[in-house]
Amino acid sequence: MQRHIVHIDMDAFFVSVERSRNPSLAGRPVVVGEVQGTRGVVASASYEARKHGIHSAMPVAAARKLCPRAVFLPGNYDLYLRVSRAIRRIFESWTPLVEMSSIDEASLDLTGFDRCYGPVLGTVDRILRQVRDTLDLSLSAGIATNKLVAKIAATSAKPAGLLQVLPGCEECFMAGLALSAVPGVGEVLGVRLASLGLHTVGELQLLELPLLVRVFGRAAGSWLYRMARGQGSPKVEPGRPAPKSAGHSVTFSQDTVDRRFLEGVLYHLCEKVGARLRKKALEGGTVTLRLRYSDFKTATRSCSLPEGTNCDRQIFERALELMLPLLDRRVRVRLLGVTLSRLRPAADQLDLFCLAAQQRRLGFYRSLDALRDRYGFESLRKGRALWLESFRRPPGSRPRKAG
Amino acid sequence: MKITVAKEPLLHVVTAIGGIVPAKSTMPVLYNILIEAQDGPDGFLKMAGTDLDISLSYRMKATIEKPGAITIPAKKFGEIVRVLPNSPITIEQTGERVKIDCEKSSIVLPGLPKSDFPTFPEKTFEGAFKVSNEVMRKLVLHSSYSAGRDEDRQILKGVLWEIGKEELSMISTNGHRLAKMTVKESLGVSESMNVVIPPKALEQVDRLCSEDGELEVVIDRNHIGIRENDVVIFSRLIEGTYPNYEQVIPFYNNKIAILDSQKLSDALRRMLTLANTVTHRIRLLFKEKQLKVSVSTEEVGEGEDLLEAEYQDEELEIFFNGNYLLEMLKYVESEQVKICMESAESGILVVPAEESENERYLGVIMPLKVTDR
Repeated sequence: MQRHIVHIDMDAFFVSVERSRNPSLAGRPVVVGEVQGTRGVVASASYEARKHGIHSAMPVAAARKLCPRAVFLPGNYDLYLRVSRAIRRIFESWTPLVEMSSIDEASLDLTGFDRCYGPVLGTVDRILRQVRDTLDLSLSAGIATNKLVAKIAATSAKPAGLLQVLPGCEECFMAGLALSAVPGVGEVLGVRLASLGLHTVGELQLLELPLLVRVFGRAAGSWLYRMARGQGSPKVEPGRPAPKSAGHSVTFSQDTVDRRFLEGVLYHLCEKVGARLRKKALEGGTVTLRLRYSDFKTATRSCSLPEGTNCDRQIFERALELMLPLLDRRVRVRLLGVTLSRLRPAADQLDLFCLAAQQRRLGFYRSLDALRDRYGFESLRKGRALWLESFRRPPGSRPRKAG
Repeated sequence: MKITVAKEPLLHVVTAIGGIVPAKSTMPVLYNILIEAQDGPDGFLKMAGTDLDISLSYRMKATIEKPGAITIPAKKFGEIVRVLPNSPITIEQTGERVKIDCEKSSIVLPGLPKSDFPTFPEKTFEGAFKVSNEVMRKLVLHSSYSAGRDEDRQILKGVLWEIGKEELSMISTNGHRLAKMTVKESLGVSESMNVVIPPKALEQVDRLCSEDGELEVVIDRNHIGIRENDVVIFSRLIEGTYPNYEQVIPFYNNKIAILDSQKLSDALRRMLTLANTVTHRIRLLFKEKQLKVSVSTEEVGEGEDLLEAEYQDEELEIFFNGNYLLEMLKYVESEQVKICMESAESGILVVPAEESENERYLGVIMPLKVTDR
């Protein structure tokens, strides 16, 4: 049976969502990112903004210089997540085989569905129209026999396009691509390929497998060989992959060595990590602290807990132990992050000797989380995060995706 | 040094000593086993190992051609002895190397001098009290399994030994479950005392001491020594105050279920195959005259098992780490087990349904919080 793998990618997703809420943004250059201060980075830029050279991960300050008249928005990540779930529900109404590879990208397996819905090209067009009509969002799609080619096809079709690579035409389709446009060819591999005079997939197609294996090793060599011929995995894995870690980090609007401020921020970050784990009924076994100094040197320190935890205080105590020695360097700190990994389902094991205290703590977190769910996370402050009140600007932290 | 020794007893001793040799140490000599031979009319072969907390030494019969002492890597020596033919083994020291010969096989291992090896606390067994191996083994096996492994609280890593005038008890807990074994036995001690011992030291009693016979035990402020004929175990005691465990034993739980211990274990084993591998969450639902053991784990599966139970109270649903209950049942020696409960989020008491006059075993397990998962 002919495989039909569809890759659907939202066009400038965060900007699209903002535009669907505020139609006056249509046609204008829009940038979503950390606009607080001058130090955030661009998370999403509209196609109008991209014409001015603005791209994601670029400092907001640089973007402002490139296009001062663009609309800069701070981003509402909870909203984007809700919209992403709504998109997923639409996809799932067409096929159970939906793999969300990120907040704004999905692979769908429509193999065999031509018997129900008719030819795949028309089906995908109907799916795209359904998303556009119900959520007022712009999106593009690629259809191929595997996920790799489908993704490249979707990217080529952007914005608001649809491209099908017919079975048997993969090698020909890939030949014209620049190697840097292929997902999986990162900076390091790209430089190595370029040093060998290889710039397009077509050039790579001329090389035989044994040579590629000799130069790049077995894994990378055979991947390059298969990629050049448009071969890839057709396996769409539905179900959300279990998160491996949960973390939060913040870049300060001004570098600082103020210990009171740093401890306050650390507490605040630990609270956010704890709340996230409790919401998912998980606990973590390793605490990792990431600290970047103003000279961009980054220190990462980890420690293991004998038992998993999702308790703010326990996370904070470990993170503080990791952070304090790093402050001895006496260089100002630019970024602070806390991550919990080795995640597992919370055992909720009751304790023999401190049952009453444990019950009190569990009840406290239940009430705390419920209050914050209802009135927002910042509605309630506790512990050392209260120290932040004495500093003028509270840290604006942005959730990172669980890795 | 040159000695000849039979394979089987040597393997037994080397395996036991290998069990206490540390896996990681900053002192390389601790990876080694000490082999010491003394000749003369009282000649003997002594083998010893230590991790600095526990030391184990064993005297055995051997033909001693030339006395001497050296240390060699314990794990490697154990591996070699295990695969040698079942014939007398000759161990000969040449400088800092040791040659092991057996039939036509010959192996050479590097050694370290005895002087590098830490000296053991020289304890005399004068004034030691005596306890039968059978009693000691019973106390250890029925309690030590429940001790903490890597908890923050060091004291819970040990087994509490309460030596009373009339009875002996061993207790261990990891903070989630507790096991206590009591045997009526008078050791003739003038005052009762409590010590906290690393379970690893006690496990050597089961491993090395004979089925019957008596152990000599000597205790001072920091150490305990246990000896039976040629085996001597020394261990550091764990310092600190053991928590007041009696306070948490729920003697007054009044919802009582009596079940066939074997059938309950079998049902738990079946359900545990589907349980989450970290939490081992199992659901027990007590209803009139029956118990439903069930499990439901996302992405793994679900299952249930029905058992007959003597239970008259109101319906009670309670969640457990199934492994805790299964392990506890292993040491219930009566056919039926009595489970005494109070509520879904308070500890349960597990005891044999038939009481024995001379010994009492009890276990306490804390449930998992009731959730909709």
